Amino acid sequence: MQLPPMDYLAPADLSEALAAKARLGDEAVWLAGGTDLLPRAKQGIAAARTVISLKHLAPELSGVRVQDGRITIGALTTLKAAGEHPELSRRLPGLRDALASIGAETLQQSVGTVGGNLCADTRCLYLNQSPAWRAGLAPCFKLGGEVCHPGGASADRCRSVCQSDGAVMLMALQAEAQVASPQGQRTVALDELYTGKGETPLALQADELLTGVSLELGDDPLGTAYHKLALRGALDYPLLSAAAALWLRDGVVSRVRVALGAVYAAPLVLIDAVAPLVGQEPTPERLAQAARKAGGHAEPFLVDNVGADLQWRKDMVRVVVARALEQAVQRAKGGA
Amino acid sequence: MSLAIKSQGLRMTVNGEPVELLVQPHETLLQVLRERLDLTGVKEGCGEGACGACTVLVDGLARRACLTLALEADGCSVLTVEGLADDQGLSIEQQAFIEAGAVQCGFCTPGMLLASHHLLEQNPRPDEAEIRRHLSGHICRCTGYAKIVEAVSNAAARKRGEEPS
Repeated sequence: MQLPPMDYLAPADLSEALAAKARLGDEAVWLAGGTDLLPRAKQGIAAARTVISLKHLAPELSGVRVQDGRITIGALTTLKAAGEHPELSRRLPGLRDALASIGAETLQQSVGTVGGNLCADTRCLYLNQSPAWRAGLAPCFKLGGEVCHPGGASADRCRSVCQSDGAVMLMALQAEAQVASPQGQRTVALDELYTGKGETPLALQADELLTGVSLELGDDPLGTAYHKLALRGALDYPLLSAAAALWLRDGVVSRVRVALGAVYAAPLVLIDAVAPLVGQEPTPERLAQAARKAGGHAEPFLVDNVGADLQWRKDMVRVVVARALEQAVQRAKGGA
Repeated sequence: MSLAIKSQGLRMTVNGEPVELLVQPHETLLQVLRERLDLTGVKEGCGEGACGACTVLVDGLARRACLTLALEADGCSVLTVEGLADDQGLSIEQQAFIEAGAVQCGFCTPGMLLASHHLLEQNPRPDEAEIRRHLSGHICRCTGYAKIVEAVSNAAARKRGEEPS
């Protein structure tokens, strides 16, 4: 498969990269590992007239730092380096598992990056296809048209979904992204970074680059877990996934966040379903009750757009949320 | 729009030989290796990173040549399946694949061999689960994988100077 003609820049450092992007604006796209961008460029669904390679920025933007109860991950840290970082993997096994589930081993070490995963575009069975496949259908909202194929006649917007495993787990952990532009650095909560709009899923300006992500571990014992349903154990995007982050104080839930992947254009955070757990002991009955509610709350968001039976995905929300919550509780109590 | 796009210089070491050529920015490493350097051991399977057939090692790490712009490999050392054998004959991995019957149609074999070589460079004593995990991004439509896993395990033993069990 051929790539369309494009120009290529490989700036030497961050300031040179930001200056180039500011000059070229939307004409240019960032290139990290390329495993999301290049397939889309080949399919003709990524506007990539100029790619700005970040390869020389790896020393500047790689690495995991743990300091004062805060974990910071550079955007160009490879998935393997992040997932296998001893401190990160010990404190955040859910994030380790989410990152390890992306792509495959021989994609993890030198290409897939944490920042690239966070900025991966939303996906849809009707979008991520060859031009020949798509030629039989009218252009959809994401491609500037006026229809959503899986959404049906009543759909008034793009219903593509976030299938980034890292984003879902980091959203549950209430992480923040660091964003750089020629004007300086800013911090944006992932809740704000993801717009929830399939057409434009990321709230980044044309001159901005995501340079890292960080999160507070909190004072109470934290358990994290990520459960993903996919067709195969490797090389597949989630058909549905759930991430849970749960903090316990004296055996009682002090805080809990659950996010779903492959449901909505952003990782879908379930607030009301899990709120009743706070202040309670996380008994199996209470966790099951939260998971049942999660299934009901997620149902209206799901459409048939990832190549798995829609009713099955609706039914499985309860199951993945229950699994993630149960494992997060175990881990918060000190179990594996 | 393409009128303004200029070719750029690319220098790399391929299988130990220095190479210098002009490439278009949108040429992939796969295209350059196959079509400009005649290294047709690099196979294009899916063209979108999902099969592993085009895997080569760039500075010792596995990469999908179909998802790597050639210019991304500027200044790097690239190893393809043609670089595994030497004057003495096939590499230990290649010999083990033949002996175990791990090659049928052969299309996935170059990627499998480079992924295996990469694994054994990092981990001289992988167990079956580690071999399977390392090769999980490589699709074979003929063998059912059992013979490939056996071949990698045998190659690991030979590299350690032991007889395969």
